[in-house]
Amino acid sequence: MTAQMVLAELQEAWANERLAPELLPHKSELVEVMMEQVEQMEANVKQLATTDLRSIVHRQELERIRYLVRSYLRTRLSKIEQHCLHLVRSAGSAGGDLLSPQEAVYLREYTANAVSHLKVLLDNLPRQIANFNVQEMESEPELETHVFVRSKVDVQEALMVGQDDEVNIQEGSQFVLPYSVVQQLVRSSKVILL
Amino acid sequence: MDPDEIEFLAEQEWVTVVPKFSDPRVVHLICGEVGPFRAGLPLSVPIWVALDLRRRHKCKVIPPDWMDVEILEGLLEAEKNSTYFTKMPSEHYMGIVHLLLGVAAEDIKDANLIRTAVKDLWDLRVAKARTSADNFIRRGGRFAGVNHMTRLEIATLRPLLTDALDTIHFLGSVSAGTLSFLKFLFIKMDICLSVYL
Repeated sequence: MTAQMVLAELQEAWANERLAPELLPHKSELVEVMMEQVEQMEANVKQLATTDLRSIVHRQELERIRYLVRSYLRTRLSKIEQHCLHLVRSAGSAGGDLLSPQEAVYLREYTANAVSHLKVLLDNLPRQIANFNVQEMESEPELETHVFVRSKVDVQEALMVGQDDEVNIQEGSQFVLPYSVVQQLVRSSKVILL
Repeated sequence: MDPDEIEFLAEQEWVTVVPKFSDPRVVHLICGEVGPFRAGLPLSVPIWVALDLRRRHKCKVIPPDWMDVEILEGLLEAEKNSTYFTKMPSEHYMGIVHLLLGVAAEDIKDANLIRTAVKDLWDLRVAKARTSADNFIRRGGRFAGVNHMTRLEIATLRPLLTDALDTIHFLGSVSAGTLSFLKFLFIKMDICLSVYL
């Protein structure tokens, strides 16, 4: 896989992550490969004179890639914070490839800190309102929200929308539909979000 | 995704420029190879590179073929005559026009006419999008085809449409009990208002 392809995939992953209501499976292998490329490129660019045209263009590209990676990781972190209790609960079942190792650590520590902070706060409140179950705070991603998608492939089987509507998705076609209908296709990168 | 982020994607598209300098070395960018530069000889570069070179007065931008008043007016006619969205020459047609005219308007023939033509096309498409969104919501559908709508057009429509659809879905999913409670609440509010007024 060339660096160019990695960049294209990372860009797609970024756009999907920005638009999906839930946390998508992590692509940390793409991030790592890209950051290695960036570091290598940076070392090379340092050899060039700062007035050299190549240096100027390279630096700009590196900034653009860093922006992409930062925005991607930040979007994921904010989703992790928002749905931390939900993610902790589901981490055992489906959470296998959802979080990168670093994100898993972050989730654990963030949740522990948030919960212990809340407990300290509750201890200082009158008995009647201090009786509060943390699990009640759990916020799940809204999977029924509507999203815009474009398919990268012909989807063989018709997808059910609600009880009795069916939708056939061809390659290149675009739809607006509830996220839950295409959830698996987004996770497996068969459709992109627009 | 906001318009800035979509503009970022538009900047990744490639455009032809005519450099005003020569540099035989090829720049091996991660997104592809750029160069060698020979003064007066056109070559293809990412838009973000083109804009930077243009700002330094190191090149002249050649607009894409479709950035032409006649072609754009043709597209406008086709769009008027079609119930559905027609295919645009580029996924980022609006972004590209905005970027190129913003920095290199002097290089482009009829820049002002192009600006107006694209704006007309955009206005027509967005109006079409609003009308179909309205029909779609009235029909009570849960999905719709939106072929050939570009990212920027979708971003314009998104806040309105998804919010409406989500609300309709929420109201459809609440139980009969909750619904009658809501009705009760509205009636109460009505009474309160009429007393107040």
